[in-house]
Amino acid sequence: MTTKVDQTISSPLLSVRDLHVTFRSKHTEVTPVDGVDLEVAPGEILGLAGESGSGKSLTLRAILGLLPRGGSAKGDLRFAGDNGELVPYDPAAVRGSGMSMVFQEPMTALNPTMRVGDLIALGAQIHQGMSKADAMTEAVDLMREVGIPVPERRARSWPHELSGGLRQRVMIATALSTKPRLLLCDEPTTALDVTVQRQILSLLRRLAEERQMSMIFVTHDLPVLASIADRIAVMYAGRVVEINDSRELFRRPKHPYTHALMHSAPVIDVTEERLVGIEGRPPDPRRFPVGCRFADRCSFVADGCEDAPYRLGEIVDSSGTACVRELDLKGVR
Amino acid sequence: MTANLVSTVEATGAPTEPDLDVVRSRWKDMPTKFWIGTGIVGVYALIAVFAYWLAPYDPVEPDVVNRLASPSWSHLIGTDELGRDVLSRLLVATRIDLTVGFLGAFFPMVVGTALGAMAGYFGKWVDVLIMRVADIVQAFPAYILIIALVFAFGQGAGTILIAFTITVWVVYARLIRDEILRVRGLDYVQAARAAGVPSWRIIGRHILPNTISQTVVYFTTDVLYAILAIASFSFIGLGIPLPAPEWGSMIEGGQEFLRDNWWLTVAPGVALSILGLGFMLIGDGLDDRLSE
Amino acid sequence: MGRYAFVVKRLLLIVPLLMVIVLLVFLLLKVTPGDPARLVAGLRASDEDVAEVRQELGLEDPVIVQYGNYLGGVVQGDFGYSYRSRQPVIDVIGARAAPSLWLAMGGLLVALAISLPLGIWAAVRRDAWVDQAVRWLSLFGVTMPAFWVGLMLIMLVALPTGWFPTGGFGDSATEHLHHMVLPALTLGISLSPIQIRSLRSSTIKVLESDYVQVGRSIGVDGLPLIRKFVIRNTISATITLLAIETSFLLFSMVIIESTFNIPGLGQGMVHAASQRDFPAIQGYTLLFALIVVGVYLIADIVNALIDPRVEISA
Repeated sequence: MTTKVDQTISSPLLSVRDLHVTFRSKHTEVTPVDGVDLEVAPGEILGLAGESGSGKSLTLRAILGLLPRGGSAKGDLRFAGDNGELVPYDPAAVRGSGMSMVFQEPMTALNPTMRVGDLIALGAQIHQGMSKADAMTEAVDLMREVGIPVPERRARSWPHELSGGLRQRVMIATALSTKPRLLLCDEPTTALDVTVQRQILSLLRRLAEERQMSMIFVTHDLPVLASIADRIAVMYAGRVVEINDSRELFRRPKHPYTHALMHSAPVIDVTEERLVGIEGRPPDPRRFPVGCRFADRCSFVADGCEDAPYRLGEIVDSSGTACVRELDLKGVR
Repeated sequence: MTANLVSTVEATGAPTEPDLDVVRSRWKDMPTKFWIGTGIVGVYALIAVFAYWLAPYDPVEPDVVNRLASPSWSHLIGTDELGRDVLSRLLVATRIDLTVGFLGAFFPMVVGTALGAMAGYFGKWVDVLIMRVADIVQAFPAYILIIALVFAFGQGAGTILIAFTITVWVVYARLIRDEILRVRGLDYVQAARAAGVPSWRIIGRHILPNTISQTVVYFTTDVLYAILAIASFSFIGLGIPLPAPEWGSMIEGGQEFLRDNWWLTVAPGVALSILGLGFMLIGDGLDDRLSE
Repeated sequence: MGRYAFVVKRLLLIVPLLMVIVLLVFLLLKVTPGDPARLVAGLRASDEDVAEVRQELGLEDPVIVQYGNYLGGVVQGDFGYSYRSRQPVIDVIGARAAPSLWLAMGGLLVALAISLPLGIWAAVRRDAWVDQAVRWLSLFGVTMPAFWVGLMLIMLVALPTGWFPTGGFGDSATEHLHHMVLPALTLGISLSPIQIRSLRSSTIKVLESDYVQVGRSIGVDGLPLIRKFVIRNTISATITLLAIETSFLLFSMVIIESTFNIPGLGQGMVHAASQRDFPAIQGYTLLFALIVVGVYLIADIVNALIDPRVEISA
């Protein structure tokens, strides 16, 4: 189930082709990620939007090799080596050197029995062989960089002594401690207060720029991506249904699902956590329908949609859509 | 070392309760080990029932002339230090151990469930009283209390059963009480009660399924612990009084002949272990199935 | 509150529990059938002699007074006098303490040496053959009572090889060590199944946590992950586990001391029971109960002290 091999990037940092993530239990087999293609250019922020259950988080985990119990990933994943050549990689090896992840829930993401400074220093110690003292200096610098006040003192704090926003900054510092070229962000702002969300978003944007770091930013909150993503991929029912330049996507969505996402919630200052306004529910991953998987909720459904192929079509001008109908949908800009 | 570790998966909704019908239908899907365990226990139960018919010799009557005979066709596992046929003793011991063991878990279960249900249902001072008593009982180390009680009232099955009942009821009580309190707090249950749904329906649909499954799982391992305790007490002379055959006291009797007549100690031990395996398989199988 | 204040507060909370325990132990003997005075005086003593003895033992006093006397005595370390040997119970018990201590320590060491690596390994390699094997092993281990394991060790190791004695305690430290190998092994094997199960379970719980995923995401794996992320977060559960095991440990000790003829507290209690030595049995019961409560208390305190989340300002 592959789409066009040549996407628009000439020398991508990460290439994901035909990714499938399957969960096997004694009686059942589910494939919540069912053929995903993605590319990330060096220094680019790719947004990955979709509702809960679309498979977006699992995609991220598969890239890093951190799937839950019972899960296995299959596909062609390549990461650029030092010379820029895309080569298949070992997730375990890449975790300490090329990629890392910012997790969603700051309240549980930090080891309760480690001081935050020690945690941030850990990456440097293990992968750059630094001495404890040097690694701590580095950690304090990182803490300063992510905006933690009085970092020298804060480094000795225990996680439970910090607020959600501070903890998330520690999380980010930890992810940066291994000097990644690609930062995977799994809903990093979802569990935070609105004002803190904004701060963290602008922090991430700044870091990506200053460090020439690429990012994949996963969220269920499409409008959030407006302020941070260069390109956006929208996922639904295990596959990417639309991909486009960020501004273009918001101006002219090419898939009814993207359109629905945009118009069911305000574009700016989102406080809703649930998707409001689209009737129905996503299909059960155990029984994905043949044909278009959005058909039963689509406002623009027509005859033939239920048998239509469900994959990204040809990518033209860095945009692609899985919708077989040529629709003229209105954006929000 | 690369580890096959787990990360959290997004929660997809409120946790569901098992429906009584679902619980019934699960019987078909029990893992193999459950059936193997049931088979083993079943065989032992049959032996227990028909022990006196199956036993070729009198298990109690000494026959000193024949003492310490090696296994032969007339005595398949030889004879013990008083000349009694070991096989016969084993068969009858099955009856005693299994019965007392079963009761030793059954009585606490009945008493505990009753008290726990009362505590959960009536609440207020009844609950407080029962739970205070439970706390005190639990604070006292169970096995120590059993030894002390056995001393106080003399050895024998009765004492042991009383001792077990007094110490073990707490677990069962807490099981059902916690479940009652949990269900009470659920929104839709409160709504149902306000709408006039009768208590027995609420009990049957919401409280019983979870309670029954947890209780049964605990019960199966509890029977095993009871049997092990009985055997242990009999071994040190504080359990089922001689000359009644009991696995523990048989092992004690054979202790001094370990070198030459090792089957006197090995045979009862193996008999006990296999039964224990049966119970563990049942408990494990149930546990596996229920936690899916 | 300061650390010391915290400990003292915990100790004070225990006092009511201790009093209840002493009360229960006292009452236990009061309801026991049989006449202690007759036991002491002897079967052939006349009724007057028995009455005299009864007076001596203070059994004529009201129950409350008897309890008060007993409680007062206990607090001062006076557990009464053994009916059997006429020695102070505290001395009788004290003489038997050392072997039991050796056994308990040895057994715990063996148990931890077996269960820590196996429990953690099984959790890390969950569902793999290691996990299955470990789970089956501990399943089977539960079915074998301690005396059986002990006798098997004697039969299969001590008797054929003659390397280890089959019982007793010995007279010097080296002899103690020598005599304790098999008993400690037996105790360790008896404790292992529960420990393995519990350790595996708490390790799995930690491994499934977010913070372990974070650790892995920055490339921390293998032994460093186990050290800094797993062990640190399972210590608390492990300490609690050890506390909970104490009652079972004491029981196993009683059984194993009988099996290997070790002159320890367990054997003492069994002898006291079969000889109906009221004060002695009281003393042992009280001691064991106090040990369990004490271990719970220590575990509680240690857990609170090592958990960074508990607020105790210096």
